Amino acid sequence: MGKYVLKKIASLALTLLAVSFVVFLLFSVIPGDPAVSKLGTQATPERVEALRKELGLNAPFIARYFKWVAGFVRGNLGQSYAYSMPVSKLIGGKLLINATLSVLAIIIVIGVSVPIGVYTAKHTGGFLDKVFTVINQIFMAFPPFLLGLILTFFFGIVLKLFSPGAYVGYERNFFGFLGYMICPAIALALPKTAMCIKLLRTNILEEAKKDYSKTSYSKGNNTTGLLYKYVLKNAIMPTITFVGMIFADMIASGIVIEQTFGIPGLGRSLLSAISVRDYPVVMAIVMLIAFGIVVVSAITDIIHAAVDPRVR
Amino acid sequence: MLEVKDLRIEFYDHSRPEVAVRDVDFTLKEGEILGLVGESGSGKSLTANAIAGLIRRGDVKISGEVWWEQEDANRIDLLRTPRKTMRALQGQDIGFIFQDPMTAFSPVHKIGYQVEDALRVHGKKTSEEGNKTSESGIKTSSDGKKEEYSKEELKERALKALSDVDLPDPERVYNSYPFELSGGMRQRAMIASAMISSPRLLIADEPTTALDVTVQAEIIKLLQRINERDHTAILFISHDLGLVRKLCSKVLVLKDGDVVEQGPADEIFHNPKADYTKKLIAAEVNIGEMRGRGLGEDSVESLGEGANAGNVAEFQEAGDSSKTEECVVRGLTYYYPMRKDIGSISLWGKKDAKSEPIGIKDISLTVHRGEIMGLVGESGSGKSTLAKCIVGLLPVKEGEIHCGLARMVFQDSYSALNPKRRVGWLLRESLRLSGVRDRDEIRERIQEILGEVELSEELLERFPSELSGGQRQRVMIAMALLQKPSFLIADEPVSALDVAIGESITRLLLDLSRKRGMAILFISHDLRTVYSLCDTVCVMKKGRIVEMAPKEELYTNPKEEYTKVLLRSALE
Repeated sequence: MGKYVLKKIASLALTLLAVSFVVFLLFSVIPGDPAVSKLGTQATPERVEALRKELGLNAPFIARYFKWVAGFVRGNLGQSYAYSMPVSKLIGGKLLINATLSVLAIIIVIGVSVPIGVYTAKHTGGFLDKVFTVINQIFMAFPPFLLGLILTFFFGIVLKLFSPGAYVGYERNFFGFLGYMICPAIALALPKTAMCIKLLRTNILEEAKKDYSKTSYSKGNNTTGLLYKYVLKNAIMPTITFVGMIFADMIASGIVIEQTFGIPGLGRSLLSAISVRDYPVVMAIVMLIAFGIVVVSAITDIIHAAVDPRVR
Repeated sequence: MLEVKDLRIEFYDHSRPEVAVRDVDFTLKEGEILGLVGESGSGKSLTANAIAGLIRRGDVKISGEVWWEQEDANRIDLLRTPRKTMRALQGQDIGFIFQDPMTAFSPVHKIGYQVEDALRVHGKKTSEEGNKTSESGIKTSSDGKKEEYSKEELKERALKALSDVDLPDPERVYNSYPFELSGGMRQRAMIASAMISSPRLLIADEPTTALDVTVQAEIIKLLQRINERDHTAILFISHDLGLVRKLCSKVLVLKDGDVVEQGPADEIFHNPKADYTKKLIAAEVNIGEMRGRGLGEDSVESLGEGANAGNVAEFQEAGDSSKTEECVVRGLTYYYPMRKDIGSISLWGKKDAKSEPIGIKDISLTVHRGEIMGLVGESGSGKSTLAKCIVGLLPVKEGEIHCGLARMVFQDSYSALNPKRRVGWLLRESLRLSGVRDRDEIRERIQEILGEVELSEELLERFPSELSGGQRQRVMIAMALLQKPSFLIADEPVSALDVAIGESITRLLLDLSRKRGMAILFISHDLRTVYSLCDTVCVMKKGRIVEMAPKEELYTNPKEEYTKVLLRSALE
């Protein structure tokens, strides 16, 4: 098991290196000169040239790449062109906002889908099973941002449980911040929860058909015993993989949800950085998202291996 | 102890009701072993499952009576008793062993946990009942409290149960996952899990079918010993008459849900009354006797269908005159890519990364035109690996293979055929792949091949799942033959089929070889079929060829110890 974890970490590092190269390459070849965009089109060629030198844009590609990667490893994400301040300072706090949003959403997904998935599988064909099947279909079809709008309207404007758009900073009032984040987290989580319920239900039913279920019955187990002792552990595996995948997806789709709820997260920084060609900021954010996704998928694999001895 | 009266099982999930088991009557006394014999689909497994209460009551309609005599001479009807009482019996008084120990264990739970399960479910006998030490009382809803076993007690009992079934190093088995054990060990563990609560009745549903011949014999011996030692009654379900003859004192023969014949084993085997029983026994050729008498003319004839034997003899003459080499394999070595931690698969070499790699080593053999070579050995001995190397499904790096066009027929025709395509499409694809484009030619060739493998044209419009096992295997053979191979490799083509159907498939192979002069490599673990079909036999063990000889020589005078063991366990 230890060996497996080490191997996973090694492949994780390699993946990140590859991603970083692609990202850097991409931002080196796309047209648009950051020096020009900072100084404006009216600037003299001399001034542009001087700024290019200052920003280190004239060094060869490989040298710039290694300098950037080396900085990253040491926690130095580079210098923002637009704000002339370290990128880490610019996006550090926003990272926390997005992480909170994703974690909250994933807690909702797991906390809601596991009990409901197990319940509907156990009572297949029952009234609640049918109700949830319909609800699941509906929520699966909703994109998160639309759900966000509906939730804002319902909880914010009709029920007045929170004031839409009045974002509370975590540094001012942490619980207020959490409270504000719940709605966007629900908007993010609901479609995924619906999928998760469906997946878990299907897997449980699939596993319950397997031979070992019969063995378990032949020992005198009842359905509940069978479900919790044997089936759940077998059936949960695809769900673990799926949760890992949606976690990664949430990091990305969180950027859209931020806009809907007026949260000053990574997404807003990303958009403004792209519009002014503030490449260090863009690259740092892209790398952070990639990092989050890769790490989560590695963690999923490790959990998977812990549950299923055959994977090890 | 158990009395079954007019048991009738009907399905009604299809639109038309279907009677799967009709009016089965039998009694089973304490300490008896009753064999339930019949081909698949005869309803023997259903009967057993119905008795053990393992059929969901909603799915099928079960009528009749199944009387179970409890410890205190109370008789209850298992079909009508409340589920709760039934559950109290399951795992406590009635143990059940399944066909495939791989799937019957949950793959992600340790063996120990699953072996203990019956005890965990039922708890200790309550104090009044505790006096009866080895026997068990039924807990009904009245004694709601049950005393749980402690973890240590559970483990102790499980270890004892595991060592009772002759598993070496029970401690390690206890901590293993099912996939880390061999098939035989898994089945032993399965038996341990059923026997841990000393049930009075053990139902064994084809417990040896998924195992190798040598392991089969051991499992049968184990069941025999359990029966003698604990006086456990056993309901033994099998399609293998040889095993039933060895083990059972009473036999019940089922065909299509009807009881054809029942009585004491001796009587059934020596003096069968029903035609069907006679046929079954005739199909079950007793090579043991034949070997005893030496291989005279008459014994070859006793191979049953006579015509078969004649074909072999006739063909051999022809074969001798035209000894062209069809397939020559020299020094073939292939190892599967190793996983670093594969050592855990072998129970003995713990974490030994240098444990022997899996594959085949230094294989040399020659198959001549028109020759049928039998390839035997236990599973894992490399038979299929060799076959895949020859056909080109595995990349060969070491050794030489000189071979004409070779095609393969797989064991499990169900998974080998694309389930989403109709038979006609599958056959046409086979032709298209070998470059035939002309529609009329395709039609003609398919018609021709259908006649050859004795399939009717209606089947072309069906999906593989709508065919019987024998028909599917014929489709497989047809697909292979359409490409006009000169060498056919049949990888256990009949082991998933019933005896009679299997025989018709082997006869088909024999005919094909004779008519087309095609060489066939016939892979099997069934020494009987190999004897009736093949000219030469090649024995493999652990990736190497142990012995290779013409069949008469090998069957009458085996040189290697391993061949002797194989023959002994198959023929005894």
